[in-house]
Amino acid sequence: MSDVLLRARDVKKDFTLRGGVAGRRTVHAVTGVSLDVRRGETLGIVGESGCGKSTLARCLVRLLPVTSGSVEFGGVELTKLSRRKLRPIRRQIQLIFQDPYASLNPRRRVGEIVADPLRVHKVGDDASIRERVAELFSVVGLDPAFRNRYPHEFSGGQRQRIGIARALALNPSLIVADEPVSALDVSVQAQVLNLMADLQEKFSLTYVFIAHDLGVVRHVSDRVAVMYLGEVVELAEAEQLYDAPLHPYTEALLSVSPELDEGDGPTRERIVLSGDVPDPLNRPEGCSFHPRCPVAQPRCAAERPALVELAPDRFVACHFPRNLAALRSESGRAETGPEPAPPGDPRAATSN
Amino acid sequence: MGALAVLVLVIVVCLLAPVYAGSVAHVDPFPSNLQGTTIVHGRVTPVLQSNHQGLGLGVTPIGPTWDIHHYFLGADNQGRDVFARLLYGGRTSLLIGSTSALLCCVLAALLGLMAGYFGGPIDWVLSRLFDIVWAFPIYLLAISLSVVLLTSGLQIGFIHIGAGSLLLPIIIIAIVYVPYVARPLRGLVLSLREREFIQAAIGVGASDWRILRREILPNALPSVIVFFPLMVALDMLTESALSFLSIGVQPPSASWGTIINDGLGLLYTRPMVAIAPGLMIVITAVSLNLLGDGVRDALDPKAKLRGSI
Repeated sequence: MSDVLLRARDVKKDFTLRGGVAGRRTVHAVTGVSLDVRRGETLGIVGESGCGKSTLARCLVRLLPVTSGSVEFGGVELTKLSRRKLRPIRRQIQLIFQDPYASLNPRRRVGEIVADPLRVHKVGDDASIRERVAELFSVVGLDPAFRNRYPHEFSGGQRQRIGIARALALNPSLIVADEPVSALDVSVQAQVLNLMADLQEKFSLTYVFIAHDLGVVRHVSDRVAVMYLGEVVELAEAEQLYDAPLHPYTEALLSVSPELDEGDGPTRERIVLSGDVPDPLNRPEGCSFHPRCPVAQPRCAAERPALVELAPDRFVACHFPRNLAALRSESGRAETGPEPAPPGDPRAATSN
Repeated sequence: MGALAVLVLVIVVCLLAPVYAGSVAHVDPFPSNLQGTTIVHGRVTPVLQSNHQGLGLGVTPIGPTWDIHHYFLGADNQGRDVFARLLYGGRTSLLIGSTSALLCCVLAALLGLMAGYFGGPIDWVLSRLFDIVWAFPIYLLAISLSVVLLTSGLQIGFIHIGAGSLLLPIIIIAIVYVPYVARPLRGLVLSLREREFIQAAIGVGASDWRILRREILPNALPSVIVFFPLMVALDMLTESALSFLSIGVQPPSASWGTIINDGLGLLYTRPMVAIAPGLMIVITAVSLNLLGDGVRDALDPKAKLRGSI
């Protein structure tokens, strides 16, 4: 598929914890994620804190080495590239970080921070870099005269704009934004989100947008992946996912999200999940969601469901998907019943 | 700024020691001067006076005359002008203190940054080296090194440092304090490395060298600079202790440490001999510390508005 910019297959990331009475223990932070990011789209990734979405983001851009699996960017396998060979690809992939207070070096002037990518990749001489920095400042809506100030002289929203300017400096094609607005005030969130949307149009950017706020993700995403405990449990186009969630976890998340009840549709019944996200050190057998799932069956505790495509572009990892009626009437092509079809698509490949 | 003024005053006065000795007091502060005389209240007076009390044995050097031209702070038991020696000693002490602190901070910054940033085997090896140095009591290590090096000198490749050179105490004092600076720096770098702006630099594709220089060093430098005056003070004290044990500055050269040593035997009769260099060390150390705080505030972009000291 030529329109796939970033292709992740069965990405796993383990962390080894040392010390303590138990000695070495392994945390499976990401357990076999497969997804495609298409050129020009915004793929939202949502999940509770600790579900591995930030780890996944860092694995996708190789800020962290993956434990296993593959990440292809524009047809090039990233996971095994040497640092030197990775450098030209780094120009294409940029990051926006969650905390605008931590992501800017407090002891460097913001103009230097924004110029950094240009200097690292030796793009142009000093004069043209200065010009480009001024241009980037205007693009993100900051006065270029601010370039000689230090990060602490800016508000959170302005800092995030600086972070965005840095990410744009090298004209990347993919921007991975790790909760870019969750540290900001609600009023500022909208401004930054609109800026990101404008920039996407202007520079034909592709976004991977990570958030824990379903409202924010719905606002910006074309497709949405829902993560739970290190795996993708549902992946669909945003509207479909919000209208008729297939996975019980997605359904529960949507039902407790306050902003989403205001539509003309029937008010959702609130599904409050009991308990917390399980400790990734003690992952439940079978479906990792079954201890909290309101519709769990004995099979869920025994067998881990694979991520399968129930209808075109509707992936779910559940033995007993919800809202199947809606799915049928909506697409008219949902031949598969509650029993998932054997995985035919490579995206369905899920670890055991 | 008061601290800086005091410090500059001390340095300038000490640098002017030859001028004072040659043109103001007309004394030579190094050879002993047992038969010397000076003028007190217009009368010629020997600098060493026979005791009149008790058994009347031995001699006592004259005390402070408070006359800037004639033995301002009195004489030591060799009949030498204490004030002139104080100035000369200050030159030596400041020189050894500042150069060894500089050497120590540079070495420690280099090693601490490398250990903290690269981690893994590099960190392990460097940390164990710090542990080894740290495991010895400072003075025991310094004394051992001094005893070996001061008898034979130091030969590294082409470089030969003679046994009497001031470089030897400088190097010895610098090395024994490296772990005390490098350890906290390593910890600082460990925490800096987890910050998102380092991740951002890695994501941009910056080299390790660039990250160390542009991202980590500017954040670690204020700590080094705050350490520096502290280390100057500490190194001066170490130098004094080594000189006291005759393995630092070699007589007849003076340092504040050797003068305190000279004053030890006169503590009951002429306390000024020991008190004056002690006071100088205190004044210098305190102003160095205050200066360090001031520099830290000046370097912190968030503290621009804070008043100066």
